[in-house]
Amino acid sequence: MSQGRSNLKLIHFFLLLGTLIMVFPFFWMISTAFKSEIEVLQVPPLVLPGIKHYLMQQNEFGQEEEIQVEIISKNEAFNRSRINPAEQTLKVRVLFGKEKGEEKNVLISDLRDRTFLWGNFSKAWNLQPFNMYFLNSFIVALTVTIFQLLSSSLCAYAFAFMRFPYKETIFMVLLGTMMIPQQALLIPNFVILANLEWVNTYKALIIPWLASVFGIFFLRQFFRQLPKELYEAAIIDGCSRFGFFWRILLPLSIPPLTTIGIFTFLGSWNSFLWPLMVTNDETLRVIEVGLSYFNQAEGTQYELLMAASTFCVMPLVIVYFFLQKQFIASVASTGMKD
Amino acid sequence: MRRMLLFGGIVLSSFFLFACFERDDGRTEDGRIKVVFWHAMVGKLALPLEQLIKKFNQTHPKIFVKGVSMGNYETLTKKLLASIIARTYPDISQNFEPLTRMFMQANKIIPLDSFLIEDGELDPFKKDLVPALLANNTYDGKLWSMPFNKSLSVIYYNKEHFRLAGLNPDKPPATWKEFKIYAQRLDGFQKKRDAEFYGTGATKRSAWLLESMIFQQGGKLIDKDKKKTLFDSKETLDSLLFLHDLRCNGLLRVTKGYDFQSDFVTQKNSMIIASIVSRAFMESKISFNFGVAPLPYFKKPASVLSGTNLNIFKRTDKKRMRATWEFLKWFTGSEQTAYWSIHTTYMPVRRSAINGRLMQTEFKQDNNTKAAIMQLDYATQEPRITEWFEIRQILDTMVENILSLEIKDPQKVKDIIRRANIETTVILRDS
Repeated sequence: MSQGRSNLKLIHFFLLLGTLIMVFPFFWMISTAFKSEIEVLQVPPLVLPGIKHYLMQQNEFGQEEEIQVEIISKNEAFNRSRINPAEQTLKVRVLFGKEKGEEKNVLISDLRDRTFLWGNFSKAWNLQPFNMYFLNSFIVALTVTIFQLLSSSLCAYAFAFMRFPYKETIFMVLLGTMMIPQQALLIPNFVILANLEWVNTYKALIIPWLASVFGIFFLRQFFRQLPKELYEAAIIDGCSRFGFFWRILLPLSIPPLTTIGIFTFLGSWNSFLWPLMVTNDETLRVIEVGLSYFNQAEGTQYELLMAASTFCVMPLVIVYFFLQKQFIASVASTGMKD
Repeated sequence: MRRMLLFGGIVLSSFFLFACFERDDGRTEDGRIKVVFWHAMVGKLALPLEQLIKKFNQTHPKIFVKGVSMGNYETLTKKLLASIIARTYPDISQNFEPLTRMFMQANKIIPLDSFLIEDGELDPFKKDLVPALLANNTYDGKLWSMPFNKSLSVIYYNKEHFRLAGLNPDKPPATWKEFKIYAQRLDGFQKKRDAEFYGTGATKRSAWLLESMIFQQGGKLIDKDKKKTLFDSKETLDSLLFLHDLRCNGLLRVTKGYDFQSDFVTQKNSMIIASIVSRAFMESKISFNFGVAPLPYFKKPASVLSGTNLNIFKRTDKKRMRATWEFLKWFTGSEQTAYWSIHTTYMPVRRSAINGRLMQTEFKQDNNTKAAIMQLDYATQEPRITEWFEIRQILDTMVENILSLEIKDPQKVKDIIRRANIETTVILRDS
């Protein structure tokens, strides 16, 4: 008994360790998203952001801007309780930017104390038209998922239940296409789209992904496990082929369809190279492409990149909370054999 | 019922899919001529550009310029090449010289001289361009592009550290010899603060710096016929031995990417060799007094230009090309280029801008803005051939390999240079 318990403790220890290792980058992303530009570079690195004082000002483009200051001294007036607290002044020194090193007397009401810079999120959001990117990603991922489920299940149905000449050969050829890496197909695919004049349209983002060999393969394996008698009985009872597919097969296949749906949606949401290649206009960009624009030639604004990464991954995290069981089941089931 | 809904959803989304046709006829909905401008500016550098485009659109009611940021040079280049195949190329874009040369040979861009002749100001226009930049944009006697975001190498130094190390903060090192002496002092000072700190820093991939150093000794990068690279020379060897010597003595630390810049911001080092544009990225984070000085030199000052120029793409729509030129001419006009330079640190394009009120006030207010612009008098350029993209990569790797050597070994440095020169010569011969 005690042996079993200490074993369990050991297992839990390693599991916890694994969890920490997996969670740490995620934690670091969120923590960095709340830091100031200078805190990101600080050595030794800060685990959590510290307290910072900001002075509200207008910049040369007429926008409200906050500049970081340090408080030097509290003026005499500070302690006189008769004065309205909003009118009290403080002496501060500007830390960064054009007025660096200047000392100023400022109203307390113009100062803001901040630890977590929530403003990074809105800054990152406004730096790129992310509402558009989100909408595009959502439209593309959803359309691709729905059509892929439909095409994969129809195709897998044919391969699993029907008899036609060269069935196995055709299936092998289909499987063979899975062996060719995506990158190798990039240029030929692009040239085809260019000749169709589809570059820089939604069609380029969606149509090439409407069918998936993996989906066909995965569903065929599942369909073949179902008893053939089911099909025969339905046909004898006068059910049409499509009727069997729509009324019997699909309702029975909810678990594998969910699996493929999740994979397709994730893959589409995370895709980068293809959308980058085939879109030019900002109005067609998806979030991953938008994210890449935080990487700049002469330096990256890490806090904004991390803030953007955080809100880009959020929809997936939320979906994950709702579909946790299916997620785990689908990852586990892809390893199954026929 | 649920399945009906699903089916309805599918039908609806297919409508959506095929409804998304967008034909580009080069006009906006309200009849203005549309000019699409692809660039690679983001964040702090994109803001002034967007402001200028906005101002142009407000003052030019018949033209509408649409700026599209591609994020970085690499993506921009890839997308431009792809867009040529897909016939979706923009009206104007920023390009490095090898790409301009490639588009020129492929007959995809147009020379700007014809517009200038139409405007009747060919000579005065060219005379007002900064000579080094005019030379950089002239191919076979014709102006094929206009300078956009040109930059030069500079050194940044921490004035407070200079003072503490007993150096004069108003006298930065002018020659490499002085640089070495300064580096020794700064390193000694930094080591006293913390064993992990260091005096001066630069990037490992320093082809840009090497090219300037070769020119400073009167060397050449390529022969007259552009058939052979000339890196296997005394000038290259001396430059690299100098840098490697600094590195081996712990006086210069070379880092990956832009780590050395972060170290400068956090005061882990006191002096760095970097681009003038880095200022736009560092300034808001620097909490100490810093100085910017021209690149040190060996025998004579020389500094290689970096950054891109603007090309106008060839179209059948003549009005659209003309509108694109209107924008390009306005953008590089005296006042606009001064605004652009002040807000991004990129080089102003026109002499009249440098001598104008805006820039002169800026020089008076901020001594650091002069360092790069002073170098325009002796700025030079890389060979403008299509193969230079590839050659530059090899050069970068060569410098990185040499600066990564742990011990002093001139023979090994020589071997690495010789091998790289063979590689680059093969590229030229095969093309």
